[in-house]
Amino acid sequence: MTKLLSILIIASTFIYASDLSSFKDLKGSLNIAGGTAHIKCEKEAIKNIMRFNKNINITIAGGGSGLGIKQVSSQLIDLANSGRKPSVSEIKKGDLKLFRFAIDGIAIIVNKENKLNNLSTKDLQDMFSGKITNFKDLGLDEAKINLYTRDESSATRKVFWKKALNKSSISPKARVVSSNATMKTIVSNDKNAIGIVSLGLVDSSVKVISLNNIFPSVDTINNSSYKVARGLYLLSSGKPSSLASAYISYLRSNEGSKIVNKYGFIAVNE
Amino acid sequence: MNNLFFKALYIITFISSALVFSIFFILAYLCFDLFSLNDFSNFFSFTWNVQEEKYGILLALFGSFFISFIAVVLAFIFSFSLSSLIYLNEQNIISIFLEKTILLMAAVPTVIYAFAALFTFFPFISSNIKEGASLSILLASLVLSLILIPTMSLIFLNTFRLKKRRFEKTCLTLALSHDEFFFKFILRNSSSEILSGIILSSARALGDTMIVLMLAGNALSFPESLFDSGRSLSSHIALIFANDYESMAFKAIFLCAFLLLCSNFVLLLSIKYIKRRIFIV
Repeated sequence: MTKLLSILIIASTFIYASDLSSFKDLKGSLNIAGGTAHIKCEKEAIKNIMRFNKNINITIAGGGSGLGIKQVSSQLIDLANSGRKPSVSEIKKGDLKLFRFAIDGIAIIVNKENKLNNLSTKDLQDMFSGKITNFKDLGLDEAKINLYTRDESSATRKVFWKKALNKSSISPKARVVSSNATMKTIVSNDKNAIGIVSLGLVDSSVKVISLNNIFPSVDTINNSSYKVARGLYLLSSGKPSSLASAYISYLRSNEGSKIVNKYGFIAVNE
Repeated sequence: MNNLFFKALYIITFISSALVFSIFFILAYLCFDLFSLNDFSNFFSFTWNVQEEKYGILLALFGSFFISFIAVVLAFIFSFSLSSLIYLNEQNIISIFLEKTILLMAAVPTVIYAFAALFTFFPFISSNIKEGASLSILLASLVLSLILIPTMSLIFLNTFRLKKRRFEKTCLTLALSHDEFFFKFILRNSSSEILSGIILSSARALGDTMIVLMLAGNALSFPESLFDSGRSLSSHIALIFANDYESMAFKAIFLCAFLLLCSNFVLLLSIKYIKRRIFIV
């Protein structure tokens, strides 16, 4: 029994080491910034890498996909996190190379106490354009709707606007929040809130609602029934450095995919 | 040695002033591109909508003044009360505690205030003051006033103590009580310093980004009440900074920064003018 356990431990160490082995002879630092949806998942990958090789230092920051794209194009950072595919002009200007490692859904969230379970696209459009301003209009108890959206450079907002709202307008009265984490905190504290967040960041503090009776989940995103989804990208300006390449490969490896899936994203390798 | 020290002081003062003025002139220079635009007036409207190519920044300018004004009023009420209380009860354990608390408040980073307010003031206002209230001008002003209190209180308190040292002996000969001395003498002779404290705090409030960004809601509509959301110039800069360098939205940042700096200069100049007119003439 002890022998078997030792073999298993040694075998698992080798398997574990195999995905991290590309970092064995590397050293230096890697600066990543941009989309806030990626952070929680990538932090775990970074922790594994830095524990494996103490000569590697990786930092990760938010700021939004737009800022990430801008910073990597100016070579202020080594890799950018982006929750959207950069535009043709952005790719051309920054000589951007795209590495998609996950697919993420965008969830519509309300406070846990809210009785709302489902919205049609029409109701959602009316809510976000400011036509419906009270939950009473949706057959619920009377309560003013507090709309929350993300800032204009956010990929979460852009994808939501395109795929969930079908490019209909967002009311200027909507409150603007600067990160996915802040959105979650605010919605969990505001009984009348409705907002949008990366599915990977959803937890029990908020309630996710269905769109056209389709609940966002890994399965519904995988079978394309839930359309409000986007790729999570890592971007480099020109060819990525050896450390950046190893990092990208790790996120797309078996070990990396497990981390990606653990945080509610769908791992991809393309 | 003394001479060398003063020379060093002059040099440092010159460098500091030069830096402030260079920022001002660099921003003005970066705005030149905008001045030459045909639709320059586009910036001086209340509508910001990138999709419709509307880049009005007046809403954010108004938001900055509105949020700062409420914060300064609230901070003044608390600061004046606190500094008076501490001054009138010097050596009292409560006063010592209050003074130490104010010093501690000055050491807390603004982001901590904002973060803590999301879990305390935010649910409190929405449950007890106005049902369903959300991120709002009131919430941002309330928390912003907390960061102004140390600045304002310490200026007031130092002024009261300075005046006391200067005039105490004279007043004792007039047989004034401790309270009479404070109300009839110290307060009446501290107006100029009190006004300076208010102005310095206003400049601090105008420049704050983190609290307003996290708590004011940053909506792009004109607020109709204190419970509505608003956007300040500093948070507007932070939110549009991620736009493409070439875009008009990004260029508007320079105008926002220029206006923010001008507002502070106007504020400081106006105080000089008021002090000269009211307190000297």
